[in-house]
Amino acid sequence: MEAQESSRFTRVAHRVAIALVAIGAAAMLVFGDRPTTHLLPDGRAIHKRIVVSYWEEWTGFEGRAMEHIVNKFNTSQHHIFINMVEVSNVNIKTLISTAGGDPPDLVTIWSGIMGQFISYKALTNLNILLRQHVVTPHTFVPFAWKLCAPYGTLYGLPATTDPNALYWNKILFAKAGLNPDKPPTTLKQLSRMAARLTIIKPDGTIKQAGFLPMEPNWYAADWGIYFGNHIYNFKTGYFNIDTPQQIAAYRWVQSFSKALGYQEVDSFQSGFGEFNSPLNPFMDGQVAMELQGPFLANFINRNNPRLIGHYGVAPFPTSFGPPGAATFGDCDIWVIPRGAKHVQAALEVMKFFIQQKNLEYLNDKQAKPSPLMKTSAAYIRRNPNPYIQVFDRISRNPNVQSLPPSPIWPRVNGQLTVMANRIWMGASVVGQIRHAQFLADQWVQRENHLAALRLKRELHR
Amino acid sequence: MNDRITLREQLAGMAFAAPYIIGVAAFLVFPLAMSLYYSFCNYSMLQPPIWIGWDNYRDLLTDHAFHTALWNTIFYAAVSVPFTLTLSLLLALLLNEPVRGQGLYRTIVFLPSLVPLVASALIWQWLFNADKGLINAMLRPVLHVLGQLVLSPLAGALGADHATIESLRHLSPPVWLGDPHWAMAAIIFISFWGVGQTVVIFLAGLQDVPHELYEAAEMDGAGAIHRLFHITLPMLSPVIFFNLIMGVIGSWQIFDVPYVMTGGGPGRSTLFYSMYIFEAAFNQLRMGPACAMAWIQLLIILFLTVLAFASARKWVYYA
Amino acid sequence: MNRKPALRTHLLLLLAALAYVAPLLWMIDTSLKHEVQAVRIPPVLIPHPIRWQNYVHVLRDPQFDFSLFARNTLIIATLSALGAMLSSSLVAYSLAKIRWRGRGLVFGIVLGSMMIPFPVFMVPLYRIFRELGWIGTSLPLWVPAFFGIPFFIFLLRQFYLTIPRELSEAAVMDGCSHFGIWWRIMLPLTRPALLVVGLFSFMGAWNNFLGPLVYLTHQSTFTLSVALQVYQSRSGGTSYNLLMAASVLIIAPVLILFFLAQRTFIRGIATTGLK
Repeated sequence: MEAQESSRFTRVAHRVAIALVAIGAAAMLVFGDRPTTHLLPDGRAIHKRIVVSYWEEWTGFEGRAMEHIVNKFNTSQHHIFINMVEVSNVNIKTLISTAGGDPPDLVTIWSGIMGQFISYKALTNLNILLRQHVVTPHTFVPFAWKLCAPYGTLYGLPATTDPNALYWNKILFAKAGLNPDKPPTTLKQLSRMAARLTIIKPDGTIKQAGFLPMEPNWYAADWGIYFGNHIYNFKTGYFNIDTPQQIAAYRWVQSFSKALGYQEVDSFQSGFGEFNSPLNPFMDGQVAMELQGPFLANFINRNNPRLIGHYGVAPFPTSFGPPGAATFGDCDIWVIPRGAKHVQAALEVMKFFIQQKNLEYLNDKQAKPSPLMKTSAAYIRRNPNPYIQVFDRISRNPNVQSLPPSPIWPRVNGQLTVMANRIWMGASVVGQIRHAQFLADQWVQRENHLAALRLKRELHR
Repeated sequence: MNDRITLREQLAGMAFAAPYIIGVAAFLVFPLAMSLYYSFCNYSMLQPPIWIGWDNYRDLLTDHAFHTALWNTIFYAAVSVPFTLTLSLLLALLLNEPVRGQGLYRTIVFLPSLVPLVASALIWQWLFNADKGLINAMLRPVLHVLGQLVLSPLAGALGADHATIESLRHLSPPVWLGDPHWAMAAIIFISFWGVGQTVVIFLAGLQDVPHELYEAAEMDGAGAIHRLFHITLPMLSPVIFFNLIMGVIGSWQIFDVPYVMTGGGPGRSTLFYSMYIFEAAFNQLRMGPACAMAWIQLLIILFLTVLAFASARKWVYYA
Repeated sequence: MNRKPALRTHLLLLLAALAYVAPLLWMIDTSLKHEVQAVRIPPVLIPHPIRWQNYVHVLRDPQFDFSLFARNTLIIATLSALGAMLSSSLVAYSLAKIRWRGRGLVFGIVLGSMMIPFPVFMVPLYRIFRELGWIGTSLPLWVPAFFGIPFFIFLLRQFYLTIPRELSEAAVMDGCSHFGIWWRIMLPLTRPALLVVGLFSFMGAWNNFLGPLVYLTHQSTFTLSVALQVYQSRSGGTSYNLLMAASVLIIAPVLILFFLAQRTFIRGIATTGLK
């Protein structure tokens, strides 16, 4: 009898529990957030507006800066609402969703994928902005324009530029007996200073390195630039990898790891902290000189304010001219993917974004130089990057080299990075460079072949 | 009843099976054919496919990343499947013992297999964290004591050189996900955590072994080991076979855990077959090679299954 | 019986249970700690003070819209479960109880298709869903369930076969149509099996990662699994106490479901291996 009683109790309890879960689930379905509710910054719901879906590549404080401009736009008028979403890996996600026929209306992408996007015909032609005189080929700095309109047709508008420069740690310079206000002006000088800035522990391990070309490892493919190489032939679409300049560049790269010992360098680098942390090797004083973008200043302000005022920035030396005679520069670009549902509205948004005060707000918050040729004095003043003028000057330089608009650049870039890493770890410079050239040639040939087949097919129709 | 199939029956049968028949056409046969076609094409999904013959397959012959992914998957399957099978069998035998709290033990062993793989990847990523993870926090003192008190004196007694003795004195735990070899080990290790379902299947199989067999064996004075190898294992062999097939198919498709936990790294040390297909297709829009690889994967799984069925005749007993 | 082996068994069981439950406990433990306490060496065993705020933080994170993702996941999982139960039982009935030409072939396809790895379908299905305009919606994740899932068809067919022929034949004599037999006799009799199918497909959809990763391109449609991965990999990273809190939130519904339907679950899994 008792057993029956208790089993009945369990059964009832069981039913009650299931009912509760079911009610919870139903409540979730009915009252849970819906993706369609869009709210203005002041909390009001929007009314009869075109919703432009906008994917932003930056999260964190860099994303917040963009959000500010988006909010400003949303409150400035009553027809269009920008729904901004921060998307990691935005290049790939955009490609996939475009391939799936359901892309966002507007995206910020990284310049390295422009060539692939253009060759896939995955971007909306923006020449109408030229016809409407919203922009001209001289509105933006030369390298940014070249990225957005590599062959005359306009496919995007630049948001911020990202040219590289030499950062040096003045404290470490002083400790090594070097003049903290005199950065190297030639590559030879840089090597000599690096040697003086290197400290080896008694047990043979590295305590401090003067300069490591592979820290950070983002620019592994770009060292030829500082030796006068032009990696991409815009006319033929082939790559210049196996050139005397490249060989000189990567011999130079290897000279640093060779001098320190490949094994030692490897274990030294594996102990480096995250880029966005106080343990970043430059901020932490493990590496005295680095090639970096303007954003590093912003991260120093955040992660290691003690370094503020104790580091310098100057154009990077070159083998063939004064520092800055050639530099690598990157760029964030706004594009409208093919198949976007609200192209007109997205164009309106773009026009708003590139207004001088909006661009300068974004550039200031991201501590990067402006892509605009004409800038205000206030933008330089407000920019938290103490060396914004150095970067601004580099950015305007017509000799800045940016990533090739080749459809296969992501692949070639991948191979060049592998090549650089192998050379860094002691592989034969000439052998690696030849191999990369061989592969790149093969890929270009195949791409040309496919392009020809495609053309034939289109003509056939 | 007569053996003739009436028209009514035929129509009813087809009508009931219609969802699946339509599904097979739409989501099985058609995609299979398309996938095979794409595997001979250059196709980005943004432009129409272009026939390039065997190029995709030929390229795979020289694609180092593909070789790595293939080898990693073979290695993973070859290590993980036998180990998880053995482990789940042992756990099932243990959980079959009539002890107090049996139900609780069974539940505990089963629970991890319910955890979404993304979540378990995160949990283990945290446990395997080289600096702050729980596993290394427990290993550190153990290795310290082992090195100081056992290994280095032992090496000294054996006449090892000074450097070796010193290094044994300061043993440090592996950096797990930061080390190519240990990262693979970690992923194999995680597969041990999710064996719950296999254990339950084994447990069910154990219930079906006739009790008289054990009693008879005990009368004959057979020991526990003897009973295990001569009664339990043969009687369980169909279940073992089922779990083997499922294990092989599953291990060839491992994706979630390495994708979330290591992203294939460090280097390509935990790049698995399905991840590489996913990368080719949805990171690089190289749909052709992705489909070619998927077809090779299908053929490999088919081959392994046929092999298993062929071998089954030798070792699987059906009562 | 001597007592020693029993003691050894107990010890082994305790050890195994500890090994299997420890990661889950550590997850809960970490989820209740402060960010700094979570990474302290040596590890702090008991969180003090207990920080329930971590959960509030996760639920309120503007970039991790838990209630939206939970809703998305719930919709997909519920529809998948309904679809799988309905379609698989129909097809299984046809394969088990109706004699028609071609059913052997269909059953063969059911068995064979279980072996085909998902990557083979990944690309062409993406194309098909694009042509249907389904990319960016959750349709690709639950509509296919309405066309029968091979594994569940197989499972239910085995159940239907155990139901005596006489039962359905008698019904036919009484003028009952196949639909009537299926609805009035088969479904009530195989309710436990049907529940297994529903439960499994619900869990499968809840836990699915690769499918949503491929077919859900817009954040507003993400499921919890994908959202959790994005939460982890966003730039700047997410600290482990919050990640563990988010994991607990995702695991909890599954575990609750398990405890409510424990017997159905275990029986369901047990039968899969034996037929």
